[in-house]
Parts: sequence; structure tokens; C-alpha cells
Amino acid sequence: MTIWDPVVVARLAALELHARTLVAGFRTGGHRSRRVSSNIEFADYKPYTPGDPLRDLDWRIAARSDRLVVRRHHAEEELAVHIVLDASADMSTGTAGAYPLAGLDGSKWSTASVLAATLALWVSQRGDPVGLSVLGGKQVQWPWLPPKAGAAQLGRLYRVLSETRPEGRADLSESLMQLGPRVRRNSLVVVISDLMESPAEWGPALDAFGERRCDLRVVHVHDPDEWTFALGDIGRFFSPEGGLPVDADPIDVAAQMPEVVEAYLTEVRAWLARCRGLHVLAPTNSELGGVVSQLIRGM
Amino acid sequence: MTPVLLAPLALALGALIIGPIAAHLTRRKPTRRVPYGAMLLLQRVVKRQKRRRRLYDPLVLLLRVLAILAVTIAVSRPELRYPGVLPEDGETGPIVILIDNSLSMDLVASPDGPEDVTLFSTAREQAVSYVRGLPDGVRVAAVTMGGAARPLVPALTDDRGSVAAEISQLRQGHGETSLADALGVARRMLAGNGGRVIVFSDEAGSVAVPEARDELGLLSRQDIALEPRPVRAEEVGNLYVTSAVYGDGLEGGSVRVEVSNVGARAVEVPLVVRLPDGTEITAFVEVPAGGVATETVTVPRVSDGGVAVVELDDPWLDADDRFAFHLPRVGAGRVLVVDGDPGPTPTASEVYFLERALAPWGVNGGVGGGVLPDVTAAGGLPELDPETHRVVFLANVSDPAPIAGNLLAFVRQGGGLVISLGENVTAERFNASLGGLLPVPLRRPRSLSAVGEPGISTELPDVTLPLFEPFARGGRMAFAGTQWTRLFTLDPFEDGEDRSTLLRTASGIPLLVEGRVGRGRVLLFTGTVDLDWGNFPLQSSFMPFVQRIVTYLGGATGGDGARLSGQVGVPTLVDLVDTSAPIEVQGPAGTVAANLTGAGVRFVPQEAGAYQIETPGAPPLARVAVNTSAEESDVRLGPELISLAAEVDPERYQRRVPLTVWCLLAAVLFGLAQALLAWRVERARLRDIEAARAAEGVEHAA
Repeated sequence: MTIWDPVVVARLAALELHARTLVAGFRTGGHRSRRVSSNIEFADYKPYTPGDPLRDLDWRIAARSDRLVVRRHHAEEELAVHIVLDASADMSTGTAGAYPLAGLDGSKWSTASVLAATLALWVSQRGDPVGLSVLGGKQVQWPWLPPKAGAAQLGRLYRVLSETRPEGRADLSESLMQLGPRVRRNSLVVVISDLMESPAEWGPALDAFGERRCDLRVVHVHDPDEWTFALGDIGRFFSPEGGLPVDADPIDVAAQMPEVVEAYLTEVRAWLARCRGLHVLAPTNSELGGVVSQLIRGM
Repeated sequence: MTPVLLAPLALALGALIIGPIAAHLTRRKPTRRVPYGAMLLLQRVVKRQKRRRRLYDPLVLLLRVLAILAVTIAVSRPELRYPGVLPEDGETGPIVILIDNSLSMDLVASPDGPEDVTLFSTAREQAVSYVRGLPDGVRVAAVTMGGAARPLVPALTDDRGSVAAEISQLRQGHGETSLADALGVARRMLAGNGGRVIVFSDEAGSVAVPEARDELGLLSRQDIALEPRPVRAEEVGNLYVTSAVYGDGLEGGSVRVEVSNVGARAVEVPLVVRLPDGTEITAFVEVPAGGVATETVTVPRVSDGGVAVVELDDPWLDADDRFAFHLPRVGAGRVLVVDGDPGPTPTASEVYFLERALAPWGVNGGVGGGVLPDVTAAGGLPELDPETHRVVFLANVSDPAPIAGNLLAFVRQGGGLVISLGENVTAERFNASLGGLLPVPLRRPRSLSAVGEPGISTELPDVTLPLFEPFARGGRMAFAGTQWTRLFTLDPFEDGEDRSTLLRTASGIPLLVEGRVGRGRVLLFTGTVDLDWGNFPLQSSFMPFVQRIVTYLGGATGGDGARLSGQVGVPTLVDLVDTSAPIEVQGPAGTVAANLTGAGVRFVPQEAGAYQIETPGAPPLARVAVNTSAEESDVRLGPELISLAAEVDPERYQRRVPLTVWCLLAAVLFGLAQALLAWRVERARLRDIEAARAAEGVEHAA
């Protein structure tokens, strides 16, 4: 495939268009670091302990209450944002997507890639470094783009998003375990995936991000038709990632699906809660404005 | 109970069950392949569905298969056949009533009820009621089957009142059940014109019913229906004596009594052994349920021989509580020595040697066994009784004429007589007065050697002869030392059936000749039993020889033929040598009716106990120990008559219950059950779908 592949070009254009449209809807501004440091903006107090700088002692409180407390301040620095994108074959399914993408119209991948592009654009416009990791997929030129700032990085990122075709398995557990040590400390990690692997398998891998004090935010992309199993008549359902097909009657399955989905989401949220991760649902059939809004809140 | 299919080919419809099974196994195969990106969720749904289907699907399949099977079986027209069931044909032909009045029917109906309410009285009451309840015009007869089968009326009659009256007057018997004979009588009364035989019986024992198999076949061939009306007791139980045997033991020996208990609980009862002389020995015996116990009682040191009786008392069946058995004379045997030559010195007296040979340890030493000699002179000979004295020694009596009659009767009745000779004896008198007793007429005394010279020795005896059998182990050679200087010679004779020479001298002169007279035996000893004619009393063989003579001649009172056994209800024949004298049969309840035949006397005992055949004023000629049938005492239920009848004629004695309707009903029930279950499953599924859609709607609205 060449860079002039019309499909890729069409996707690139569509990604930019969608991203800019979405980013235009949000205000721009600075963000606080998760790290506490010496700075002018007050953060909170803590009891004095030997070794703390004396200049940070709050003499007024010491005079009033005879207690020694130290003032702490937010550090102001750049925030590295690392986008982890699931490009497994399962992401190619779905038909109800609101963001057409050439060759992959309505799929979970189209929603996920638009979301990644939007987020990258928004971060880039703030001057912060942004990186990208693609899990699985085909024709991935750079599966790992370390966070960098600037237009060139954004271009590379768009190019990867445009060229990548969802295929194979993501192996979330293995991939996240390998990725954890590579991301910067105190960075923001945004995982965009349909999470169609057992939470009990990939959940423990999230601890790697917690250890590096990363702000973890997981965007759970899903096709509502898949979750309600509104898939027409009886059929033989198979996963693009492989495995045994299952013969099912959508009427029977649909009756059971809500309970199963609820149990599944509860399990996902339980694992994310362990590492204080934010769980954001991203149905493919709805506008991503709300999702992006949840995602960048607190940045 | 046997299930039968009248149309078994219809079972081929059972192949229909393949339908639902195939439907369950081959579900719809989807042709549409759909890529699906949330397989994790679908697999979890499928897992939940499988859990539910594992519960419901096999149940629905089972119910459907059962419904089809029930229809299939219904079409094959099933029916149940119960063998051994009375046909309900409402027969109104002639009827013969069979009433069992055998011993076992004397069982009390209830151990807690009155003793006079027995199985027999119950059966009799039922039979009377049955006869009186028959419609007018039905011809009826009645036959008893306790002991010999006997019709109560000569032929079938429509006079039901008379038949009922005859049945009412019937009494309990103590004989065996003669079911086969009674069925034969009934069959002959019905004379091949069909009809029914109603049997009122307890059907106890293991013999009576099986023996009737052939008769049942004949009844069936003559289209005669058998209708058993079993009469059963509330509690089946009975104690009875199975054997009583006299044997060795302390004192005068012991009687070992074996008692059987056919009841379901252990019982302890008193047991009384009543000896012929009136002595009663009481013991208690505990018999386990369904088992046998033995009790041994000690007999006094002296007791008369005869028929003894064991009596016990149980709450069930009285008629078999008495058991008779023969008891031999216990204690010393008495020997009468008629002293014809009281000598001036002991060595010149036969009695001196005989007394010491008969009772070497004195009179008291013979009480526990052995011989008690009584000595008398010829003139003082008492009336002889074989029950009192077993053997009479006639020692050198000069004139036996006064006692000849008594001796003859004594020997004829079984007594033993030993005649030893001597100088007092004269051939003419002996031959004249004892001609009927002497095996061989006497001739004269004869000297065998000169004075001072040794006499003729005795030939060694033939130990194959019963008299000398004990000497085979030793003592035979001692006879060789006996020498005779003088002996009585006899008329020439040849051994035959009535007489035989048992011992001779070395020169061949008969020394001991045996003759048979009536039931008794006579030994003629041609020498003396003192030292006049020889040295025999001084020989070591003398004492055992005399003792052996007593045993040989008087071993058993009355001989073997006088001890007989009989059974209640069974004709008993006692052979008698002389039937010219008046004969009586005395039973436990007095004189028993008896028929004299040329060979003896014949009577039918009606109860257990001791029976004596006797001539008035004379010792008994024979004793008969009569007992009831042990088979009748075993009152446990044997093979059922109706079951045997069903074996002989299965078609007649079975009940048929068609099952088609029940199978169809079962099919409907199975069908409804599976429909209900399927409906519930479908309803639950639809409810889930509705709930899912509602949840989806709420989600969309949100």
C-alpha cells in the first residue's frame, strides 16, 4: 500500500474533519500536573516533617494554632498523553457507527480511530506531547509512536490511523503488560478498545499503569446492535479473530444479553476501579462529543 | 402377574419415538454467517442457555417419548394376567362341598380367642352358610377329607337342608388330609356333568395339595371348576413331638424327646413323659421359633416295658400334643429257677451254681441291669407272666406235669425255658407232660465213662450261632475243658426249622438243643448244672454261658412282632398266631372297635396313645404306639390350591385386566405435561425478551 492509497487518503481527510469538528466544540486552556511541586498555585497543607523546606512553612497558621504545617503547590509542566488503540479484528465489526470511514463504515474501528484523532488533535493544539500504540491490526507502519509535540507527530499519528486495518488479536493482557513500563511516569494513558477479552485476563495488566502513576482512562467502544444482539434472523456467528462459530437465535440471545452485558460491565468497572481508571462508554451510534468531554475532563 | 400384549405387532409404532428424539438432536442449521465482534458476550449467553436447556430439554424429550410409548402400548392392547385367581363366572351347576376335618384344622383360629373356635369350626360354619345361601334347585353334596375321604350324603341332592345338617354334625378328626381322594369322590359324584367343587381347607402342609395335581387335571378335563375357600388362623403356630427315643444314660437310661415349633415365636412349655408303669417325669422345653429343641429325661432304674407317652401343652393344636413310643423293660430281668433237686450240699445243688452264675454280685447288684433270680420249688410255681419273668430254668425237676400247662402258655407267649436234666428226670414223665415243649423226646441217661476216669470233653461251639456269638471274642476254648461223665440221650432227630442242635460233646452226643414253641424258645440241656454229671459249673465258660442264655431267650418281652407303630386314621393290622381266643384292642379311651381276620386283628386308631391287643385276663399280645401324622402337625401354609389349579389349567384360573384405557390416559397425561412444560419454557423466554426490549428502550431513552 502506498501513501496515496485513495482509501487511506479518504480516511485521513475524514479523520481530520471529524477531529477538528469535535475539537472546535471544546475550550482550550492549561492543565494541572498530577505531580505536586513548588510553584505559586496552592495545592494543600501537610504536617511539617524534618527535611521540608522552611520556606514552605505557613507561619500564619503556626502563629495562630501553634501547629507546623507546610504549604504545597501544583507543579506546572507538560502532560504527555499516550493513546493505546485496539486494532484487533473484532474492532472491524459493527454497522451502526455514526462516523463513516472508507472501507470500515459504521465499525467500531471507525469510531475508535476518530476518537483517537480527535484526542490527538486536542492535545497537540495544547502543545502537549501525544503518542500512539496500536494493538493488533494490519499495515501498521508505526505500532509505537512515543509521545511528542508538534504537527509532525500529529501527521504521523493520523497516517497510522489511516493506514491501519483492524485484524488479528490484540492480546490485551500481554500488550498492556509490555506497554506499561514504556509509558512516561505521570502521563495520561487513554485506552480505546472494545475490551472483548475476558476482564479477568487483562485486568491485572492495568496495575502496570498504576505503578507508574499514570492517569488511566479507558474508552469502551461498542456497537449497540452487538450488545443487544439485534442481528436479524438465526445465524452462525463467528469472531473475525477466529475461534469456533456459534449458532444462535437472536431472539433467544437478545433475551439473555442485558443481564450478561450488565455483569460484564460490572466486572470491567471493578478491575478499572483497582487502578483508579476512568471507564467511558462509547457507543458507535452516538456523537462522540460527550465521550470526548468526559475524556478530557480534568486534564 | 404377567403383562401380555394382544397385538404385539403394533409395537412397531414405537418407532415413532424417533421423531421427537431426532427433532431434539437435529436443530435448525443456520445458513447465514455473521461476523460478530462481541463473541465474549455471546459465549456467556450460550453458557447460560445451556444450563437451562440441560434441565428442561431432556425432560420435555422424556415426556414426549413416554407419550408416544404409551400410545404404542395402548394400540398393542396390553393386559395384565393374574394367575391363581378364581373365575367369576356365576356358575349355577351342581356343587360338591369339600370340608377338611383333618388334624391340622383343629388349630385355634386365634390364640387370644376361645379355644373351641378352630379352623374346622370356622370352615364348618362357612360351609353351612354357603350351602344354605345357594339358590333353590342347585344340587349339592358334601365330602369330608380328614383321614379317608367320605361323602356326607350318598349323592347330589337339591335338599340343601339335609346337606347343611350333615355338615353341622361333622366332627373334627385327627387323620391326614386326603384332598386328592376327596377330589376324586367329588368328581365321581359330579359324573362328568360339570359343576363346581368348593374346598374349605387350611391348605397346610407340603404334601396334600401337590398330591392332588392329577385329580385337578381330571377335574379340569371334565369342566369342573375348583373354588378353594382357604381358612386361615390369625397366628400359625404349633408345637409337636417329632420323636422320642429311649437310650443309654444315668439311672435306668434316658428318653430323648425332640420337639418342633412351627410358630413364629419361641415357646416354653411343660413336657411330661408318662411311663408304662404310671411314672410321670416332667420337664420344661423351650423351642425356638421355627426350630427344633431336644429334651432328655432320665428314666428310673426300674421300669416296666411298654408304650410310654410324651405329652406337652401348647396353645394352638391339642390333638397332636401326645406322642407314644416303645419303652423296653428297664432294670433287672427276672429269671425263675425251679429247683427240682435241692441237694444236701451246695455243690450238689443246681440252684447253687445257677444263682451264682445269674447274679454273681448278689441280688442288689442286679438292680441296675443283669438278672434277678427267683427260686421256687416245682410245687410252688406261681402263675407265669412273661412281663414278670423272662426266663424259667427247670433244673432237674422230677415231675413237671403240674406246671406243664403254665410253662406251655409262658413259652407260647414269648417266654424262654431252659430244661436241664439229672438223676431226678425220667424220660417217660417228661415226654408225657412236656411233649409240646421238648425239642426232642428224651430217651434215657447214659454213662460216658467209668467212675474215676475223665469224661468226654465238649466240642468247641460254633460262634456263628447267635447263642455263641459273644464267645467269638474269647472264651470259646474254655468249653473244651468241660467234661461229661453222664448225659441224657435223646430220640434220634434231625435239625430243622423248629429245632436245632447248638452244642455237642466231642463224641457227637447232643448237649444243647433249641426248639421253638409259639413266640418262645426252649433250650434242652442234656447234662446237669451241678457237678453230678460233669464239671461244667466249675469252668470259666459256665457263668457267661448262663448269662448269655438269659439274654438270648429273654432279650425283649413279647418278641419283635409285639411292638408295633401306627398312625391315627390309618388301619393297623396286628398279626396274631392264635386268633381263636377272644381278642380286644384297648386304646387310650377304652376298647377300640376291631376286626378279627385270619391273620390277626385290624383296627383304625382315632387318637394318639398306647394301644394293647390282648386276650382278657392274659398279658398283652402286642402293643401299638399310635401317633398323629407329623405332616398334619406342620400347620404352616403349604402350596396354595388355587396356585396349583392355575398351573394345571392356567386359562381358567387367571384374571385379565385390560390396560388400553390406562395407557391412553397415561399418553394424554404425558402429552399434557410436556405441553405445559414447553409452554412454561416459551413463556419464560418471551418474558426475558420483553424485559430485554424494555431495558433497551430505557437505555435508548437515556
